[in-house]
Amino acid sequence: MTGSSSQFQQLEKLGEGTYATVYKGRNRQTGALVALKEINLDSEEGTPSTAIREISLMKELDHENIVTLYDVIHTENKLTLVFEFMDKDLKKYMEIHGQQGALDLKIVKSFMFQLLKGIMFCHDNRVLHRDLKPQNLLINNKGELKLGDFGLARAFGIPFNTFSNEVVTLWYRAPDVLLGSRAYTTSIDIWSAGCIFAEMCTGKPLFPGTANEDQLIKIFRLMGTPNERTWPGISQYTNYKNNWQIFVPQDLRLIVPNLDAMGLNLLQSLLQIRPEARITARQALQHPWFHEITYPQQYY
Amino acid sequence: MVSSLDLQALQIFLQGPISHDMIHKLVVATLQVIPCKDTKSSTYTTTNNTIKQLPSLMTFLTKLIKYTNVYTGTLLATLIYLQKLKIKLPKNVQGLACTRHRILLTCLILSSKFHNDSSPKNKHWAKYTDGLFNVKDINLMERQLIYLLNWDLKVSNEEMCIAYQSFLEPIKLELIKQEKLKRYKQQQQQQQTKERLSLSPLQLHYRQNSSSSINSVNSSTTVESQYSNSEISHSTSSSSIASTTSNSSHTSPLQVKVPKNYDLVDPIIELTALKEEMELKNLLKQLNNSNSSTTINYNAAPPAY
Repeated sequence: MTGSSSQFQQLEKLGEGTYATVYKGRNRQTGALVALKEINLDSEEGTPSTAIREISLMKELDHENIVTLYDVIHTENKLTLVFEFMDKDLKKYMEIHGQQGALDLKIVKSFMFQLLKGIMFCHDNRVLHRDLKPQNLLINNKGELKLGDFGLARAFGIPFNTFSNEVVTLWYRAPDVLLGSRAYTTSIDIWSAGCIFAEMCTGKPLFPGTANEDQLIKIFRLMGTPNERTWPGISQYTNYKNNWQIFVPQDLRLIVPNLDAMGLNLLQSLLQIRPEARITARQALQHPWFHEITYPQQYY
Repeated sequence: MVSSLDLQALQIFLQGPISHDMIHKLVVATLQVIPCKDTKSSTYTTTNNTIKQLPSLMTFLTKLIKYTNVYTGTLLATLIYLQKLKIKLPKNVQGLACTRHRILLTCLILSSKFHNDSSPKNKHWAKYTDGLFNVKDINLMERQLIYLLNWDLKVSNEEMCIAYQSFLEPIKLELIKQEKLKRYKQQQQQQQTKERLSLSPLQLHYRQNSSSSINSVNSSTTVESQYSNSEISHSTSSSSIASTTSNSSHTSPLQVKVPKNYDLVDPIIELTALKEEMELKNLLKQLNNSNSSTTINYNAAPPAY
């Protein structure tokens, strides 16, 4: 990982994040397209910890559903990450190809399958993504979906790191994290996957909350307000309140009417409000809803 | 592979406070990374132009720990970086007087940035060095170390277990001891409930009759004293164990199969053996029953002792 920036021709800007700008680039030698993520280094901070984690974790994650990091160019005032080029993110894809954002169920199935495969690979390699959302899922012209932006990702399973609960973009944040959990694990990525699943079906974000408390209420309104009986230990969370308005669980079919019964069953398993009850990525990939993909010979 | 015992010990170890021994180990590892010029009489010009004596690595690290209040695990993971660095550095290089200080500080910064969701900025780290390094130095050192380590900052439990084996060993021994005690107590209880459940009228009769012998066994207290003197003497719960031991000895004089030197054998092995023997007898009895085409009674009491 010792590239020099002159190797790449910088083309148009693809996007801008809080700490980085992404450009389209071209390898001068091979002509191949790449994505160049440029991070301006602040002399007071040094190399940002987000970049340190993103690079060290992504370097080890070699999988077809995770964006490949080709190279890193580290100079005194700029850090450039060279990624495999992807055409667009899922959010843009839905805007362009969806019917008012809603995707065809065949495509939803393919994307969900790829998303869960990417998640499973991360979890198998002891990495939490912690920021899954349509903007961070990248799609290429071959219909491949890959996980990108590991800026919030963390290694887990080692007993010596501490966790912040300021993780995951609000709309995709799991209820246990919203309640203040710092002991979360792989199930927080699964919750995000469930939110993305529903969003692909309807074209609208499932829980578009405005703040932490509002986000929780939006979740309760659909999934039912939890209590000590339905979620033993919930009153121990920092943000627990005993005066939440009491909602009864709604039928997901009303929210995602175009999804078949099997798909609704999978969605329900991903969106379990109790973290321990949520399905794992490995289990989700075994779900009958995916048999069409996993056992194609039975479906023609 | 890391066993669950290793992992449990590691967890306990990393939740504990930072000890002098830990700091010592890190300093020794830093000394071994690279040979340096004589550091004893070295001075340095601080960032505000006063001349100071170069602190020893021990002092330097102790101050950093005090200023940053770093987590035990974050600090200890630096050892893995130091070990990797030692392999990567060419053998013939020699550092300046303060090179080891640079290396140790930068390893700690990288460990902090990798392992914690929030960590100090480099300008804060510069302040913690008491003017030894400025933020520009630190930024450069950080970049160089990242390059040398090739962004390879993930530290596995296995690496930690190997690196801190000598620290983990006593914790593991303690855990094994606690586990043994727990299992022993459980088995004692199981044994008792089993006996209670399987008591046939005949045995009950025996028990009632033998109440006089219980007292004699208890008063002799050989079992109790044996245990509390040897195996479990430093356990806080030794008294409760002693009482369960004496409880179980209620029946032991009646059990023909108990070896004479019962109190000299490891109680766990002893109990397991007894249990297995009972199971075997049950099985044989079932076989016999089925051979003679009678119904199998799975809850059959073990043969009366």
